[in-house]
Amino acid sequence: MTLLLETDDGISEFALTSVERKGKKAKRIAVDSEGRQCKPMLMTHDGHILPSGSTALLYDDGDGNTIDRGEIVETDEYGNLLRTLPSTIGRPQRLSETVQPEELLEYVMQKAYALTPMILVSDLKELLAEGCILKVPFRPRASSTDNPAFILSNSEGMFLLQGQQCRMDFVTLDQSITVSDENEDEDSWDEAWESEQLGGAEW
Amino acid sequence: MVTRKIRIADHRGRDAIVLLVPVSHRFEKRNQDMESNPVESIRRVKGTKETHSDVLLKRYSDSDDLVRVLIAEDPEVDIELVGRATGSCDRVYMSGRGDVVYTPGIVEIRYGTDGTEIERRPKRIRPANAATTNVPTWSGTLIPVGDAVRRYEFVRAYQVMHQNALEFDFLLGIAAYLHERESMVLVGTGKHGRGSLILERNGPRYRGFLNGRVMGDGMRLVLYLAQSELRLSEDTE
Repeated sequence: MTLLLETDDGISEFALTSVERKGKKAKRIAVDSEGRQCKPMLMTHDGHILPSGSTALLYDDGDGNTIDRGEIVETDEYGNLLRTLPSTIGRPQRLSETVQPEELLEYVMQKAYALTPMILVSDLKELLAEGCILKVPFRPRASSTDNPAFILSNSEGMFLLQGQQCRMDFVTLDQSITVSDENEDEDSWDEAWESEQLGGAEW
Repeated sequence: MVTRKIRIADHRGRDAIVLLVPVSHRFEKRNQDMESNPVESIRRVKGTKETHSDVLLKRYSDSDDLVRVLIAEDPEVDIELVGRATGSCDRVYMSGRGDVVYTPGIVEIRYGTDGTEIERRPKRIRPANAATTNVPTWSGTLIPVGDAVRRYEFVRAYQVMHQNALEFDFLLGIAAYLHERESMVLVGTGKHGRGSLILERNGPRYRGFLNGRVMGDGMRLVLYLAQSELRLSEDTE
């Protein structure tokens, strides 16, 4: 993938390489008493076994009518229609704003890429060397979601972090919450079924 | 929403068990049809174990027989079930013989960085360690926010919440301390409070950082989790 960034001095070009998260890859499988691999399946509440591929995800209007995917539109939480925005890959994106480091704490990062500069214009090089963090639209593919990305550098190199903005509010004394203990020590086995990142060593 | 607990210490040597509430995404998408009616996705049944092609091929080894039965009896369709919403389902495991295995063994297959299998071994249980009986330690490792966001990729975040006034005061103290120093503090396990955090049994290890802000009567204390530092991989180098 190629990232094109436009600044006053021209267009910079970077190759994007996914930053692998820490740890060795591992997969867990279930085996029977003779060591043969078992297949995971679903069981309905009334006991029917559903093998892989025997369910379908459909859209329903609430009255039991199935709606074709082509007849569905996406909206925001206020009902405003969302249009599909084109991919930004290979299209120059204008860098217009630097952001404070605190702004990154409003986001949870979904993906990190290492940036290998193929063309790096001088003003962008200076901004990154000064430690500036730049915000840029970033959509690897056409999407109605416009999550931004942040470009920054550290002693290791230059990186692009794609984030999703989160809701974190100030709370006061009267906003306490109460929970039961039923979710304590929940096993992450199911969600990590296919593969997981195993941190081998202690930090 | 799964709310977890964590036992943390503060800079004054006190500790408490408090709540970790997952942060929600600020931008939520919804689906609607062309007439602005809300649409929801539902998982429906296409077939079952009894109507699955593998079972039918085993039952009718002769292909001509299978074709005749498919035309005459429709064994691939369970009229009572097809199209029904699945509702919530449990995960079960099926042995090679087609029996439900109630207590399967769990084997972990580990792969090297080049994708080749290194070893197979019985899965060891890795317990959660965020809210144990061990007394936590304030690590004292403060990192300016600017350094932290350039060094780590924060992949999960939880708002640290209180259940009563004492816990609120405890958390407010930490938030004010960090706000004043414009820093994040390393939160972890072990003697020095720098060990990795495991929030759920068999879950991944994280390095945890608290960020706190205070505004008026309110405070915002958030635990950020990083799985890795921002480094170039060998391939990139």
